Amino acid sequence: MATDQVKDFNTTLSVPGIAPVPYAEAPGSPEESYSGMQGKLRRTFWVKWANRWNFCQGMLGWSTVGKGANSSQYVSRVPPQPYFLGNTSPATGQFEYWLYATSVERIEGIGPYRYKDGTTVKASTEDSNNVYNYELAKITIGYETLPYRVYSDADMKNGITYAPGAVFQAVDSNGNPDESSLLRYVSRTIQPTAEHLKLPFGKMYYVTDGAAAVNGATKIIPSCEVLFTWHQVPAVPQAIYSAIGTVNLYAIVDYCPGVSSSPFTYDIGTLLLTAVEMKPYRIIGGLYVNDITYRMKYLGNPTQYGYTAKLEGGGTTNVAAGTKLGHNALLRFLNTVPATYDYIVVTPDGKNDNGQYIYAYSDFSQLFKLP
Amino acid sequence: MSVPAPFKTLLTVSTPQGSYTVPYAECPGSPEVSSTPDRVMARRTFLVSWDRRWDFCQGMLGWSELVTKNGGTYVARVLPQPYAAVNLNTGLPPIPGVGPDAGNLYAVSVEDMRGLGVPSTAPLTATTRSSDPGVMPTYSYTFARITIGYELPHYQMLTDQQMANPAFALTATPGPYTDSFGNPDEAKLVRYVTRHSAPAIISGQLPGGSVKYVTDGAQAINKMPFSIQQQDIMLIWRQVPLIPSALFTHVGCVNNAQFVDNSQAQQSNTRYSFPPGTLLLAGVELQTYRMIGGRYAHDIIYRFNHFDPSGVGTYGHNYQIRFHNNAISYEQISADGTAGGQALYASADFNLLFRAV
Repeated sequence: MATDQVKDFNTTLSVPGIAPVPYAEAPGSPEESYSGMQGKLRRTFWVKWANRWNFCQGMLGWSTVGKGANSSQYVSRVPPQPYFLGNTSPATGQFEYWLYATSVERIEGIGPYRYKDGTTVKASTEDSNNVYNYELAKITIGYETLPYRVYSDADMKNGITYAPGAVFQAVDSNGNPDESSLLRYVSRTIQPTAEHLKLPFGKMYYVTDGAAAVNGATKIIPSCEVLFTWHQVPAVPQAIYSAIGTVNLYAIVDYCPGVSSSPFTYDIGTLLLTAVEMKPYRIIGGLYVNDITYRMKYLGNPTQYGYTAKLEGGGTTNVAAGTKLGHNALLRFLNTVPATYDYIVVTPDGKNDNGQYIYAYSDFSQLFKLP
Repeated sequence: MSVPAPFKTLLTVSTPQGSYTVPYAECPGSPEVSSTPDRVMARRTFLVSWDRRWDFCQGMLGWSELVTKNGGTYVARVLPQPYAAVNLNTGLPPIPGVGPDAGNLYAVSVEDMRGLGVPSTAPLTATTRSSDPGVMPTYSYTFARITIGYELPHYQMLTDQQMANPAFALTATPGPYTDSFGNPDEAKLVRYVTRHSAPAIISGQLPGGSVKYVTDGAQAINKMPFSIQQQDIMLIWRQVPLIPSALFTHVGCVNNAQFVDNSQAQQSNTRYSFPPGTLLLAGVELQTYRMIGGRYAHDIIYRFNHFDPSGVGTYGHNYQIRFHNNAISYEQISADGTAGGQALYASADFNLLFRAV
């Protein structure tokens, strides 16, 4: 491509925070595909050589620490560029972006370059890093589907339509985008686990004659591990270090992708934060970020299975149904007539007013907030 | 855009909201078919107007969505397009109500899609969110050359109409496969469900004095090992556009009623039926992805443990082996020794695991 064709760059990439970059798309672009439940796309562009990194950064987006009212901080996102496919539901006209720029597959110099020969600069446009200075850059950008939702700061403030007809305005008390809503840049994985609980002798009985079951019985206690990965986080939340080994103080409402009309709710005390994995890396442009994976063990609230919620063993106050259960409730065989067993909250003194439980409670929303 | 002369055929896609068509032409040299011992594949290449390319691809690969009708919500399916390249039913009896297309390959992937013709950068008339700073325009071509990959799916596919047809009979359970609202009911497990099973044994130790030598009636030595047959069953509900609320609440429960699995009825023309109490939901796994077009979907893996030592459902997870009165038996156990007493595992309706509730 000749130099004068640069002036024909009649389209401009405009992204907040960087200077607008004129560009042209190469003939033959784009190439599209959908395979293995993954959409993919490749587009090729020409930009001026000097603008190449600005262009790439604008395409892939970035995350920084934003400053809000009352000295508050939040994760500010400049989302990657989406690819417009037209109305993606031909029947309903429903529209949603689903392919985003995720990689710079190749940057290639085109046109005459200048170089440095010893201490002699052979061209006025020499790169200060002694890199060949080409006329143009031919840039191939890869697009993919992402395992999490992508929304801008403005989207979060204006309200997110997380399911048909259901809108949620995801802002904190300072009016900042609130990622503890789990609405953007959060993916989740659910893996099953189970434990075998050996019941004590003389607690379960044969129905035929009322004799105690030999060896008691073994009860399978199913549960699952829920992994939340918070992507591209520019700082490490302080709550990580205090929340390890605790359970959720408040119900966690997960507006995860694919829910029907209601978000999924993890009841109080049902999620135990067992581990945190941080994967630091640098995004394009050099900013440090982390993918933070919170590994939590889920133990369903026993009230879901028809058990009552109460405190026993010297305590005088019953625990309100649906609260303070999950990991802090243990299976107990009761001296009732007829005999039953139940999940009972346990504390050091058998009371629920001293604030001590097997696992302390903490506000898990802080795991998705800064600092 | 006017339809070019070569586009003499129409792809017609029936959706819950109606139907739409996309004109297309198949390229010379298409299709290509290949087969390995465990896989049959086909590849077809089409020409479509550039501005209809994603409509075409979506119609080829199909999708799932939630639909509310007759007062109930259900999972509606737009099936992928079939391709009957190979008669895969050879030697097998005909499948009632399905016909010769039962062994079809189905479109599963868009292997490649690229523009043909002179590129144009005419501005797009995009429907965008108001807060978007603007979407980058892209070239518009005259045609898109699209390569579609076909494979044999691992699960039965039926249309919503087939599910609701009283005359339709895929298994020993005749249609319609509908819920109480008259909508397609995937809890019948006749479509979009894959089953994997792994029979195994669980090992234990005999209590002292439980068995005796036949020669002289003396008690056998303690801690003799014994094994009981059980089975791990994995049911995978495919391309589900929601997360059922029963997904978490039913883990750790046994089935409260007969649970019928028709997921592999196509092969054997029979069904599997699990008596109450014999299936324990031991875990759930989610695999989330986006269908073509951007909608979210999940493959939901339900891991069950099947325990039925009698083989006819007399016993289940709330029964325990007992050596008593010179006999070996399985007996129900409860917290108070009565049949109505608190059981080891609570019971739940497993149909709710496969419904949009």
